[in-house]
Order: sequence, then C-alpha cells, then structure tokens
Amino acid sequence: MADTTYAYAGRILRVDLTTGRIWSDPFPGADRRKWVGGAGLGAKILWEEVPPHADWDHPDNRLVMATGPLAGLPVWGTGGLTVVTRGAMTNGATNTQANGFFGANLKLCGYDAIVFQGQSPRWVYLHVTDERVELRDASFLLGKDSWETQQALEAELRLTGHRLSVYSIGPAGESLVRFAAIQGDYGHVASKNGCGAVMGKKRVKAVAIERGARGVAAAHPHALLAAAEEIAHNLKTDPSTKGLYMFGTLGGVRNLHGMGALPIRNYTTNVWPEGVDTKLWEAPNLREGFDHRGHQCSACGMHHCHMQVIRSGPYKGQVVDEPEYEGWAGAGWAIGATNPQEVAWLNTQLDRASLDVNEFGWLCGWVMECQQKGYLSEKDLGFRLEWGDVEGAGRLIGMICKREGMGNLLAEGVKRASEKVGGPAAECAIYTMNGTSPRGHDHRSRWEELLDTCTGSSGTKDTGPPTFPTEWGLPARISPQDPVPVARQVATLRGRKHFEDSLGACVFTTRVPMDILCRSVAAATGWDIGRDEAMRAGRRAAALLRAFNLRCGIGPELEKPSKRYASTPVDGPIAGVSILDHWETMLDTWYETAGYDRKTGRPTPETLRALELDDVIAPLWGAGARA
Amino acid sequence: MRVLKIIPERCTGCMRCELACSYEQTGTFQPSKAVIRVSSFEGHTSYAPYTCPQCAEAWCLTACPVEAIGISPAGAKEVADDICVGCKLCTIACPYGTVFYDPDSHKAFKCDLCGGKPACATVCPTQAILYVEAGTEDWLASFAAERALPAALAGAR
Amino acid sequence: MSGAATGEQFHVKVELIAWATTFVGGDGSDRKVFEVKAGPGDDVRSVLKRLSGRFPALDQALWDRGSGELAEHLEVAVNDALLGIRHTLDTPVKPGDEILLMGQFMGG
Repeated sequence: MADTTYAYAGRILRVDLTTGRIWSDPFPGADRRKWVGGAGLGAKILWEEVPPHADWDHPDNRLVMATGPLAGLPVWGTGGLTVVTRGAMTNGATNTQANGFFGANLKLCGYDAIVFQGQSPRWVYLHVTDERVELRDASFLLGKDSWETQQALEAELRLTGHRLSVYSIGPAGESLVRFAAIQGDYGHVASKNGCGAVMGKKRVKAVAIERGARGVAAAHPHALLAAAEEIAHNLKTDPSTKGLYMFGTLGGVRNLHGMGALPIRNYTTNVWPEGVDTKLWEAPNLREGFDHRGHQCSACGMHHCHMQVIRSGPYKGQVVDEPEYEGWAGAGWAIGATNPQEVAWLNTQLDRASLDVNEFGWLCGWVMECQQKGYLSEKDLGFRLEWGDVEGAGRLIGMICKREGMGNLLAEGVKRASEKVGGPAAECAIYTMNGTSPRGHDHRSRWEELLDTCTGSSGTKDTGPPTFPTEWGLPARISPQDPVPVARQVATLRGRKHFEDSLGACVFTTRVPMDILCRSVAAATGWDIGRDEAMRAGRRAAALLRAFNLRCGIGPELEKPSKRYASTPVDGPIAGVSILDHWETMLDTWYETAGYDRKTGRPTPETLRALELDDVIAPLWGAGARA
Repeated sequence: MRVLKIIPERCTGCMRCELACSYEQTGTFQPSKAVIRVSSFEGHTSYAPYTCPQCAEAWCLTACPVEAIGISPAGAKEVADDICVGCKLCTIACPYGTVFYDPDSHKAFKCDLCGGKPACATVCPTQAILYVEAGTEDWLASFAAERALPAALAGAR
Repeated sequence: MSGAATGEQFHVKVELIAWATTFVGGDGSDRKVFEVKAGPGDDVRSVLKRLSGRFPALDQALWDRGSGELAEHLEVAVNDALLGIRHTLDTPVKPGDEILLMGQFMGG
C-alpha cells in the first residue's frame, strides 16, 4: 500500500453500462479530505455529473455505491455502503445506507466506490476482485429474490460467508417498483428513495465483491486500535447507547408506544389494540422469542443484527433476519399485525423481494384502511385484506413485484396510488409532498423527524434523531412538541449524519461523542480533523444534495406533510396536539438556523462560501451573485 | 502453557480477528495475510474462527527439511523467516490447513500467538476467542527444549 | 389539589418500563413501580429527584450534569401525556398522579 492513501484505497471504480467500459479514476488526497467518502463523495458526483434533464430512469443518472475511510478497519460496524443516486420516489437526491461487508470487501479489492452510469443492453452483474472487474451475464439470476441471488452467486463463484459480499435487487427492482431497495449480505438494506429501481433500470442485478487480498493501512494504527476500543467502551456504557448495544433497535417498540410514536394501523390510533401481549414486544422477549445467532457487520461487537428461526405458527422453522425496529413497525404495527413470529416472517419477505419496509407499511396500511372504510373494494384489489393479515400482506408483495392487477398501481408507492384513487382514500395516505417515505414511527409525536423528513434532501431523514446535542450548545433535551427548540435542534445538528454517512460506518456505532469519532478518523487518515471540520464536511454534503434537488426543480413548495401524516392524534400520550399549528414557525426557525433562504430554499451565498462551495453560488443564485 | 481456545457458538462472523491478526503479521489491515480465518457454516447462519491449534505432534515442524519451524517461548510453533526456503512442505503436512504460504515473500507463515499476546483474542468483541492456560503433556517440555528457537531469533519477529 | 392545600402527605406512582428498569436494578424488561412520597409544594421535578436520589444509575441517566434539567436518555410522561403537553417539570403534583419513565428511542 502506498502510504499516501492511508485509510483509503485511493481509486474510484467507474462502470459505463451502455458501452461496457470499465475503468478506475484516482480519488485524490484533496478530494478525500473535502468530501471524505460515502455521502460526501456521492453528493459531489451527483452535482457534477447528473444534469437536471436526467431523471431517475435516464441513462445519465449515476448510481454511486460508496464506502469511506473507516471501512475495512477494526472500528465497530465498518462494512458500510452508502448509495447516492437520483431516486425514483422523489426524482431527487438519495442518501441511504446499509452495512454488512460491502465497504470492507470493496477496499480490500482496491476501490473506495463504484459509480455506475449508462444503461446495460442486457441484465448483468458486476464481479469485483482485487485483480479484475467484469460485467457478467445475469440471466441465470433473474426472478430470484436477493437471498437466492446471493446463494446462486456463492455457488457460481465458489465462495462462502464473507469471502463474498453481494448487494442485489430482488424482483421489485427488476420490475422498477418505485420503492425497490438494494439488499445485501442477508438482511442489510439500502432501502430509501427507490435506489433499487435505479439499479433495475440500469439492468444491474447484483454487485458481487470478493474479499480481496489488498490491505488497508492506517496512519497511526496503534492510535486507531485505541480509538476503536474507546468507541466500543462508549457504546457499551453510555446510557443512550447501552440499550442499543445489547438489543439493537428492539427496544423501540415499547418506548415509542409510551411516547405515542408507534404507528398503529396507518396512524388511526396510538394505543395497543386490546388483547395484545405487550410483554412479547419488549426487547429481551423479542430477542429470546426466537432461536437466534449474532450476524454482525464487519468488525462489529454490537448485539444488533441477528439471524433467527421462527419458532411457531405457519412459518415455523424458517430462517429470517431479526427485524429492526423499522421492520417490527412497517411489517407489523403499521398494518395491525401483532404476532412477532408472523411479523418477522413478513419483514424478511420484504428484504428478499427488496422493498422498502417503511413505504410498504404505509402502502399496505392504506390499502387495509381503505378496504375497511369501503374506499377500495374487494374487487379493486382482488381479495379482502383485513388489519393484521400477514399472509395477505405477503400476497400483496407478490402482486407489487410482478405489477399484477392493482399491484401495478401500488408499485408506484402510496403517494401516487392514493392520488390516483382520489376521493376520501387520498386523505388516508402517509407521505410527504416531495415523495419521501417517512420512517416507521408516528412522527406526529416526533416533530423533529416530521420536520426533518419534509425538509430533507435525501429521500429520507437528513439529521435523524438528536445525537449529543450539548456538543453544539443545545439543551440536552427538549420537549418533542416544542416547535422552536425542535426546529433549532434539527437544523443545528444537520450535517453530523452526512459526515457519519461518509465514513463507511454504521449510524449506530458512530453514535459516540464527536471528539471520540474524530479521533478514530484522524488515526486512520493522518488528518488533524476535529469536530468542526467534520461537521463542516457533513454540512457541505447536505447543502450540495439540497442544491442538486433545487436544480432538479424540487423546491420548498414541496416541503409539506400529507394530510394524514400531519393529522392530529385521536388518542394516546399526545392526543389532540397538532404540529400544523406551528408549521410555518418551525420552518422559519429551521431555515434561519440552517443558513438557507426561506423563500427560495437555497443555501445562502454566505453559507455556501463557509462550506467551501463557492462554485455552487453562481449555478444556484445566478451569474450575478458574488462568488 | 496458554493456548487459544475457540468457542464457535459465540462467533458472529464479524471478522475483527482477521483484521487484528493481519495487522500483527503485516502492519496493515489485510485479512488475506491473517493466520486466523473465519469460516461460515450452514449457509450464512453461523460462523467460526479457526487457526493453528499448536498441536503437540506438530507435523509442520517434523516435515520441515531445513528445521525452520521451532517452538517459541510462548509455546507457538513458529517459522524462522531467515531459515525457511519456501518449499511449502509444512503447508502440505499440516492436517488443519493453518500453515500458509506467502507468494510475495516466498515464505511459510502461521500463528505465532503474537509472542504471547494474541491480537485475535484481544479484539474479539464476543469473547469467542480466549487465551487460556491449558495443561500440556509431560513429554512436550523436553521436546520443546530440544527444538526451541534461540531467544534472540524468537524475539526478532 | 385539595390534598396539597391541606398539607397532607400522599404518594405519587412512578413507573419505569422496559429498558428504563435497568437504571433501578431491573433487567430491561417488564416494569418497576415505586410509590414516592409527596406533599404540598412538590412538583414533578422534586418527585423525580426524590426517586433518583435512591438510585445512582437513574440519577446519572435522568439528569443533565450541566443544566440540572432532564438529560436526553429518558422520556417522561405524566398521566399518560408526554411532558411538555399538559405538564412540565415544574407542575405541582397531586394525589393520584402517575409518572412514567421510558427509554429514549434512537434510530432504527
């Protein structure tokens, strides 16, 4: 390894699918420091290479699958994949993550990112080794779900376990379902904004990356090992992460119900239905309710990802991946399903078909509510779908993936489907006006994420849940329904997640004080990076993704929740409280704090200059603007 | 002596041991040079690390025609780089497949217990790899003395 | 209110559920319930302080060292409504009040 590329492979793999040409470009040192990797690198490529006329399904769209400086190193949870593209849900920027071993294997083959452009004339998969990169015929993989695809490639390439990392689309991506995801390494999903539809449109079925023979050097390896241990210790002991360390996101169900933020039956209630054994839904019981075994990402010690075996009921004996909170919500509570054994099955069917579990929850819940209320008939759908009907939900997956009958409309996502059906049905659907699917909580009780989802530029949340707000001069905690502090918090912390998403690391293992995280990046890269530089890098990516969206015509007029998404809860801990009474005030605060112009939605020239985005000022504000 | 004890059911397949081991071996994080390897079983549902068990009846050691493999103070069967001629006989003799050949250096390489502080055990987040005291057969002591590496040589690695 | 006005002592029920039980010696499941003594002049804050005074782990998780206000780790509901809706830390407590502590949710 050349010492000048500490923590990086130093090359970006480029694939033109139209011509079949494959080459690699250098990832020079100055670019590495400015864009870091992952979300930052992806934002740069999107801004520079995807013109406004190139919609999500245009060959000129780019599909960036990037990792970052921590991938392949011994910091916990560092197999990271960040997908950046112009996505099918919003037709704007996408920033979505998965983990597993993608990032580690890719760097061991000698690349920091893969950038697809063009459109292949036939179905292909990309095979990456440390010596050779090839587009190969994928006809034998067509129709296979993403787990079957990985198994078939393991057999084809004669490799097992993490010797091969496979990220693929299932039948959903092949059919260009708008909320199709990219799934990999049995249970890790880059799910947002229809990135799987982009991959499908390019006719790439899978990316198969061998665990190459190259190495990743750290500038200060002893300091890196020490920083990795410091991060691990913090995750194990800090009150905010200890639960996550022990049970991943399983604790979410019980806690969110207490906050009125568990989305039950398409936001029609915030209270457990009668007769539900709520003890089954506590983290230790969700874990121990199955035979299970840890299935960790590269170098990770969190007790988070598990494989499990369904213990009872119609799906007994099947191997599934333990649902995240998002799975328990989207494949469970949002559609009224309350039996963990069944929900775990449905969640894995979604992963295998490679659909976004959040959007599926809102879509399926909407169909169920519409049938219950008579807005959709049995004939419209072809069968009766009642609340909690997991088998019926499974049937819906099949219809969507094949675009069969009403599945063809549902494959467009709940926003477009509900707009098409119209009438009272249109008022029951959960979405944002720019097409972003909210994550799997009831955001009427989590105003920070409702605001974040509407103002974000990545096809999902931008800031995410607050992480160590006191580091940035904010109160340790605020009332989740206090409009001005909520908006200030979301805008002030904006950028931290984009930095994390640039590292090739997991959002859960980077949930440590910023100084500790920066110590690991500094030891890996040799940079004297502190939290201010890190935050600036994140805000740079966030601002550029926003600039990209504005250039595509996605502006502040679309930063609104749908009627149901911002409705007033009728029961539970926040009954009768509505975010809409405060919406304009929240936007005022958010824009002012973020340094963006309230009227046009643009980052102000001052903001762009402070983020070293001087060359974005003229394209955004006109040639007359002072650069 | 202390040995590596592996508890396969605790392994989650995170491969951190491979990273740490390769760093000890090469100074970079390069799992292809690791002498502990994680295998998957039953498809993708279970994993287990394996490495040299430092077996008493060390076939690698007896097979070596130039006596490049000795026993280190930590009790590890260890390859002396300056003696090894790269004939690969040890890699063929080893019944466990845990002696490797490096085509770059043309030498055999294997687990040396990191001189008594095995990195794989240190970094394993689930304690699937332990470094623990274990009884040895009586005859091993004299055998070890006979074939022990000079201390200076052992420390040079 | 009448109880407080007449200076009588009463109890406020404080319940910790699921993950929050780990701060009072539980295993992260089920619930732990405490009847905390209260009287005239007590508010949500003083009742919580009284309980957290008995459990160092709870004290550490519940309060922010710098400001003395709530830290980010636990959510608080009073009579099934989240703090900030009908109650603040400074709202006086009355007989029959129930306080619920649960783990803050992050990510997913």
